[in-house]
Amino acid sequence: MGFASRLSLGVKPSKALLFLPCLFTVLLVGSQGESTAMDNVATERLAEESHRQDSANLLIFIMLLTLTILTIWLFKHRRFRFLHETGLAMIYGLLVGVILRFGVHVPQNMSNVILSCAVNASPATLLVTFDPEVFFNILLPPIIFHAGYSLKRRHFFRNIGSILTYAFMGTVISCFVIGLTMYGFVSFMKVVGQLGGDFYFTDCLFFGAIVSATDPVTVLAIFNELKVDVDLYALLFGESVLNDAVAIVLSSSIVAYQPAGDNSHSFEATAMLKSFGVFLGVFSGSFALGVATGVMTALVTKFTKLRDFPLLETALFFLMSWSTFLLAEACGFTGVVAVLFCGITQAHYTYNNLSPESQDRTKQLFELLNFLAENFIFSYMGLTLFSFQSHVFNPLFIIGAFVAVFLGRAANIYPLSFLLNLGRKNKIGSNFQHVMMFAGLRGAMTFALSIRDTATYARQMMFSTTLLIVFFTVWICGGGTTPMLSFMSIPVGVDSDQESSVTMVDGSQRRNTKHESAWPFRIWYTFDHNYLKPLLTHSGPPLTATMPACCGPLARCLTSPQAYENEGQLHDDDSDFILNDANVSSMYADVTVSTDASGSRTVNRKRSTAAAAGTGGGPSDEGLDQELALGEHELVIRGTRLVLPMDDPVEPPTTVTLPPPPSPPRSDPRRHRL
Amino acid sequence: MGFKLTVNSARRATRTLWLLMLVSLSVCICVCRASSPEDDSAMENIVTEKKAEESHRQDSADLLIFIMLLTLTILTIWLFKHRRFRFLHETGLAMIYGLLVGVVLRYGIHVPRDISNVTLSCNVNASPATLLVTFDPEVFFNILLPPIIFHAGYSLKRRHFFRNMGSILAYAFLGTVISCFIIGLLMYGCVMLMKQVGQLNGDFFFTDCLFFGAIVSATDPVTVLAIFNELQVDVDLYALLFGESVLNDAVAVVLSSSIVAYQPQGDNSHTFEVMAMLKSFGMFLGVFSGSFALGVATGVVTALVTKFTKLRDFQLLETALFFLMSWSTFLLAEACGFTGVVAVLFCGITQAHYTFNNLSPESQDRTKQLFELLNFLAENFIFSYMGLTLFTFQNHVFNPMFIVGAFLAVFLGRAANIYPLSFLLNLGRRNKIRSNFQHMMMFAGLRGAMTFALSIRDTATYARQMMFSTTLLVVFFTVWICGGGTTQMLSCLHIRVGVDSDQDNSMSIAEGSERRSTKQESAWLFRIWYNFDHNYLKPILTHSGPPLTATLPTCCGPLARCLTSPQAYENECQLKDDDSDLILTDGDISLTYGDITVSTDATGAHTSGGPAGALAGGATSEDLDRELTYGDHELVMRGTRLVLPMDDSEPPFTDPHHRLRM
Repeated sequence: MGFASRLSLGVKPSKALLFLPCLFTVLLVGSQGESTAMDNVATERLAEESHRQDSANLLIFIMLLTLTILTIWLFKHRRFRFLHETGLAMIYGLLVGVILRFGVHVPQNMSNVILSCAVNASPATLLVTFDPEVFFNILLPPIIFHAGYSLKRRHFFRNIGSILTYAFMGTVISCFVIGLTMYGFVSFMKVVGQLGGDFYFTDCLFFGAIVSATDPVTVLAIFNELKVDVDLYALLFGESVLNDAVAIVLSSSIVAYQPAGDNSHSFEATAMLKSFGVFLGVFSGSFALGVATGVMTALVTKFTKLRDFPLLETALFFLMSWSTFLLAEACGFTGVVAVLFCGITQAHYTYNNLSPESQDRTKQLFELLNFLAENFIFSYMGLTLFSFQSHVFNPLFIIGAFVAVFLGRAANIYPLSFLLNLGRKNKIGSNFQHVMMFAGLRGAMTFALSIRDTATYARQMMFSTTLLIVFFTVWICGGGTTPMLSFMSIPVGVDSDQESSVTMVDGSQRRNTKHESAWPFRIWYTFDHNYLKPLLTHSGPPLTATMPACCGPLARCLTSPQAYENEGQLHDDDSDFILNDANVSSMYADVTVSTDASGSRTVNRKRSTAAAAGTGGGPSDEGLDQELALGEHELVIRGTRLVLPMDDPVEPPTTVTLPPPPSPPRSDPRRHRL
Repeated sequence: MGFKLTVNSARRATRTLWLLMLVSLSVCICVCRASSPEDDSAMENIVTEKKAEESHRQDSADLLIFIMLLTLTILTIWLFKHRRFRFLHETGLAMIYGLLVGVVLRYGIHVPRDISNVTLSCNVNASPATLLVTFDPEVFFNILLPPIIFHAGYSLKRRHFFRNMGSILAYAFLGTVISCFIIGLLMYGCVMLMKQVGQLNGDFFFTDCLFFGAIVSATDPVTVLAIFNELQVDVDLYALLFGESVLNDAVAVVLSSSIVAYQPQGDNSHTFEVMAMLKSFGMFLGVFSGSFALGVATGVVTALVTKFTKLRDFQLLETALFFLMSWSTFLLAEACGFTGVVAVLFCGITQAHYTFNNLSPESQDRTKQLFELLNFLAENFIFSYMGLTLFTFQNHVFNPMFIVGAFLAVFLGRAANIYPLSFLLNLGRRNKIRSNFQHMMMFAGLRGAMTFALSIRDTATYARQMMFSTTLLVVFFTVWICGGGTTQMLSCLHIRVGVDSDQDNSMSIAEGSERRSTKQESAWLFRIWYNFDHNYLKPILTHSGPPLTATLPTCCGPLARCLTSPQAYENECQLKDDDSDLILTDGDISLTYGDITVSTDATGAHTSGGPAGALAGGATSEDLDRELTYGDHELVMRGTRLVLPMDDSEPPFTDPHHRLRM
């Protein structure tokens, strides 16, 4: 259904913006079979004309972006924070849309009439429009990849349980709540007679799915600037990023819900199950593909000395990341989801293998692409409000949608937070919950999903409503973030490391009683640290040390020379682990129910406040953290690490000679390693 | 005419085009077009939906092939570089891999492809000619070439480029036109012969021959220059070759489009007609100068924007702006009906000359790296596509006689470009282009991306198909044989290798100071330009240079003050020093830049100036040079500068000024 409508709709934009129009004009002529010279000259003219038109259209966007950049510079320069660049891009888009709509309507129209070779090309979209697939194939991948690539891994993994809960359960809940609410409204509208077309329950659910995808950019830009509490940051960012993936797959499986028998739109268990199967299949397939390419890249960069040539390295990185998308699309999975997980994998493994220059290059490259794509989408959003001609603004539906979105977000955050707080050591405070509720902006993904398919009446109404929701949330919620933060008295200006040491102290006050709840994560961390990291990167302990002896030769050939150099220090780390084991385990066990610790409090307090240099003890837990920290935090963390170990009894140089500690305690801390 | 030929290629490309066109923000329309009858029943919709999905997958897979090819190329290239193999450049390697995949696609999985295509052919008479991975030729012009050309302009070694400006322009403009016509005439002879023998089974007019001449005249710098760069070949040779190849492309593009535009009145064309000829010529001039003006204009606008805003505090914004402005040049030119590629080239040069100085150091790196990456990807993509096309393109017309004729003509055309022009230029050049340089330039006339793109743009008629096939072979031959033989050729011709650009530079200055120019007026134009550039343009557009308040007449005081950047004032006091130097060594400077100046031996400058005068002169001209220098040479240059003033009376005094002048 979804695809069908997309297709019949695809005709509309075709007329408006073709970058390489000679192609399709010629195509049409060619299909008529008879091409006289005269004809050819005419089509050639047309092609040239439309090529120019396309260039001009694209130029409009480039100019818009340029303008946005300049204005944003001005804003940043003067420290205006109430309007993010994406909001600004939308405003400029709106302005241009108004001008295009009311200013230069007639000439556009005329030139268009000349160009409309296909007879039944609908006159609906006369203005600058792009094919919606552009968003999915060009603009979204860099955005999503960048999101994955720049996930703050340390805090992300620390909160992984909550994040996954919010992203998966929350999105599904929100989708269904919104769907049900909307169905209520739609039924009401039908009764009142305000509905001018079909609107089935699947449509409502679809609406719920697309509107559940939250967008991190605006809020997070502000968070980043203000240095808001890292846990809140990690929760919001992780949720928004994974959210998108879930929403995409969810919406496509709702579209795939087609009960047997042509007269559909009734409930059917098998179709439902099939949809669910599609969801699981597509999601896990995309996940596997993304991770696989990431791992491939890591292996390639590890085993070649490509790092001597940063250009080649960067090119390889870029190509491999892009190929993830293509591969997933070619296999019938969702490219965007695959790209997200590829980004996370690349950040976790490949990034460590790159030369410092390539690390910079890749970060900057994707940052730039992300910036351009994002602002392009938002300015297009603004433009669309006026240039899209099949808008269906239904006041009742819009009000209903706003209510539903609000309810859906609330049904996502509050109950889940309550449940999570049962299991969390580090509770999600109610002010955090309010901010998360408030920060549920809708952005690029919602827009892309809703514009993908605007063929039916229901979809058009959804699209118009979605646009309004995006505008509202980006302007009002995005602009109100700073006041909201101060209103909610959320700590601002928190240094992430300071914060982390505080939580460490907190953590050390408690003792973890339910080890098993953190069990899967612990297993994963041990596995990752002992096998995956050494296998895929230059860091970590050498495989020869972690693998059983029977795999000796294999381990030796898989271990990189650098890893052996780490070995010496590693023993150090291990000895330290024994000392402050409790800290480590409680730190990463996010969903663990923990009680108060017995007595380690004073010791640790002293330790964390002691400000002097040294090595040995600190590397243990901070070192763990550090592996997860992204580049920008590395230096700071190292600083912290140097501070901590003061109180340790062992002297740094002598620890190397210490005999390796007995195995049981040694393996314990490792399990918590990421 | 040019566009009508895309009929075939367009139809063939519909499938693959999809994904790539997305890049150009269009797309997917072909499918939709084909599938929208009035009565779209649900059944039909589902079918088309399936088809669309299928073709989307197919496109992804096709593009994936290329990505894999590029990945493979990168890995192999790394291996080559690692082991210091120099005989094969990455572009050559990309072509080889392309060829291999082409063979596999052609002979390996022909049948299933075919079937899937039959199901997909919504347009009834979609030609079955090209079933394999192909892209719309316009992709090359709109997506792949612009970054390559921009990068070429952006990385022109400006110092040596401007020093050899006259010769480069002569080679690029005159040389390309000469080569075009020589090749055209020779090919016309060859074609006539073929007609006599009966080997020709299609039309082949004189304009086609000229068109062939134009497209084959575009030389490609990449392969040779990569080697030159690695071996540190003589900088003048490098500058000559690079400048020529870069401008060459622009000339060839415009030339070929004006040849296509040559359409005499009366439908039965292909006869000579003065009016049409003049019109073509006018078009050449118009398009070229229009593109030039546009490119420079956007560059200047970018420079102004980056100068007058403090955008440098936000590198991301700065880089994004730079990228967008450079891209908008292309779009603007295309929208105005000029040639985007040419505009992009000049935009690149302007950006490098002015905007680059305004960017923050980080953005300088970022932009350089970004365009380097784009260039690398686009280039290797084109070359691997070239290899692929040899097998996947199905309308190849390989005519042995035409091919032999073409090789001969290309050789002769290149010779007619280099040798006579070098002779003429040597009459005017102080620093002669020696015969071994000439041979090297002759040898280094590789054909590459631009030639390919121009020839694949239009493969509708028999003549064009034959041209395309032949061009492919010419490219293969030159890239593999000439490109691979560069190292041997260099040693065979006794061309100095491992030359430090500064050492060379100081030598030429020493030579220059021994002579005195008698014909100052021939260098006049360049001097005017340099003075203007240094005194007015640089201060207006960048943070460097003397403040405008010093250079502009007093009546423009307020204007000058508001246009001058604060940094410029800091340079002011040192400037006075430099100025005094300039007065002393005026003659030398004109010599250094007067490329086409006929100069006789100096009368007394050598003795009277003595070591001090000559070296002081050296410093100033060095200074001017330095402004033209590109980033990577900066450090080295500084080293040289520190060496030069040693003999001067007060080294520490003059030294910092020069540095700050940068």
